[in-house]
Amino acid sequence: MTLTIEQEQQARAFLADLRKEIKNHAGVGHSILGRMKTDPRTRFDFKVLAGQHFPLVGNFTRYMELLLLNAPDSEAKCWLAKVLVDEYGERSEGEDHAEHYKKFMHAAGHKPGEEDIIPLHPEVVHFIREHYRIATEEPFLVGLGALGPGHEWSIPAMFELAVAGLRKAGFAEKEIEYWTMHLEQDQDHGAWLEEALVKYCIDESNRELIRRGALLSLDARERFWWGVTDKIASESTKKHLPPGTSATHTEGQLTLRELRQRWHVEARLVE
Amino acid sequence: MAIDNLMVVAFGGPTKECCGKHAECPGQAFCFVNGIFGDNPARRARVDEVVEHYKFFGGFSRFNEITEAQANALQAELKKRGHDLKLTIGYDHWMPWIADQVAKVDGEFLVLVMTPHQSAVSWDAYLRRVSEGLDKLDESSRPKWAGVVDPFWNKPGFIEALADRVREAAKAIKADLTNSSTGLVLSAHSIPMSLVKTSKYVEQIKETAELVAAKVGAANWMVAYQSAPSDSKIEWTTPYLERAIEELKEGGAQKIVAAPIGFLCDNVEVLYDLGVEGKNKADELDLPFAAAESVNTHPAFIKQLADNVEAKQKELAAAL
Repeated sequence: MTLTIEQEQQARAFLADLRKEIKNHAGVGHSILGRMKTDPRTRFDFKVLAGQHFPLVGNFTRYMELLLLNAPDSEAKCWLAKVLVDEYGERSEGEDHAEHYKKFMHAAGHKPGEEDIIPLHPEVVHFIREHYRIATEEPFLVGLGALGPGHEWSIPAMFELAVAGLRKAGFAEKEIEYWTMHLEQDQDHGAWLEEALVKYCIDESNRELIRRGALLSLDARERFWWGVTDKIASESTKKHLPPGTSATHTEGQLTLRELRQRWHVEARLVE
Repeated sequence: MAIDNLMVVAFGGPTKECCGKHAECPGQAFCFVNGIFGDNPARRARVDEVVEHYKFFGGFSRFNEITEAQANALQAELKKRGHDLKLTIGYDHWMPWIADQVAKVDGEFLVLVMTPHQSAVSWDAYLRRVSEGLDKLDESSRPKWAGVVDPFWNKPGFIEALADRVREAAKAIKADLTNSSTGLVLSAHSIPMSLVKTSKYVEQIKETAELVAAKVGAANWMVAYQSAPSDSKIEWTTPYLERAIEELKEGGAQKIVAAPIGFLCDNVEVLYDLGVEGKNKADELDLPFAAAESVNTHPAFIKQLADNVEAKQKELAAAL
């Protein structure tokens, strides 16, 4: 499909505005991230963060795979496939991103094998559920907005702050490779994405679908960061004091292993 | 033997003293607000918006001054009761920082959290700073954290102090709280619903409000939430203050009395978000408006704090 100059200009202007909106979203600018530069976090804080973040890392590939099934053309499939190839580990020594993340978790203090038995804040569960819903129930362009701009344009901004915090907390570069690798890879994904998105952004309704997807994802992200904030505060309190001292409770919180046992995500034929 | 070290922890507010975070002081509360939201371009507009609230009152806050007055009054009250308490005060968002103050405690200590209602961003956040301070110390020099004084959202002295403040405000605009023509707004800081899921914050506020309303015989009252950031798109606790004032008017209120039941001192959020923005809304609706003072150093409140400290001392002594 060939775009007129005017169509391409409009599409790129929309994408530029969307990038700006994403960078200024409170999910990207959450205080837990912004404060990492000025108010150093401890390794313990990052241990708690890692336990809540791992399930997002471990499920991202599945959302992408599900979205790929609904992609309307090869160009969209190509972008999704390129990102997936990175997620499967092509540019990270053959290790998929979840395996890579486990190394960070171990450096932060989690024992091997306990990655999926950590009680998860309800907002972590919400984030995963919301992205499965978007990838399977919303129109393709909403899904593309969520997993495309909602992730690839926000992650470099968020991770830049997280990396600053990780370094201040004393992590070695080798221990935080998952994070630094994403700074580079997601810049690439974001650039590929922009090219893939242009042709979809020629009419207002498509633009609105893409924007809606990005904002749905970022709203879930903001809620996720509040969940992490909650967990860090309560786990730190519990470290030195008896149960009941913390303002928060963890009753009914599920682990990733329990979620996997309960959830069944499928791609199916509907006639 | 009772534990005689008390560490008082609170949110904190900006004073004229430079925090030294920047080579050149950006001035007037910037570092304080930026410290809360973080050094992130995404939140700069919100930081600037809140800094303006501080500038409205001269660029600084009386938060620390009032908290220190409360702590000193508590110390004096406990002295009258025969306890010679050593005080240490620390703040989450301003100097002296909680984590630094922990190092100054000598021996076993109790923590008094200066917030009436419990959530991860207040109660737990301040306690996290105590943990952080302890973790920085060698085991040999680390003071023993014996416990945390129980919260007081529904305690009679706190309720009495709040009720007194409500009555004073009502008197200022000749409002009869027992008549439904007076709308009473009982306000607390809004928090994201994400944090409500794991805490009793909303239930505690509701209980405080019910007790205060009953104490003053309020005929027409509502809980409201204030100070949610304007740039967040997720759900926070509601109704917001402005909407609550509208609802009270829709329900027949002809005067509005607003009281900060979720705050302990007249900080800028109370003075601006409740006092200025609340009044602006009431003016817009042509309703006479009075904002109640916070409990500050109200004697009933200070006595309640002393009761709670004593109760915790006794509980821990009995457990030995």
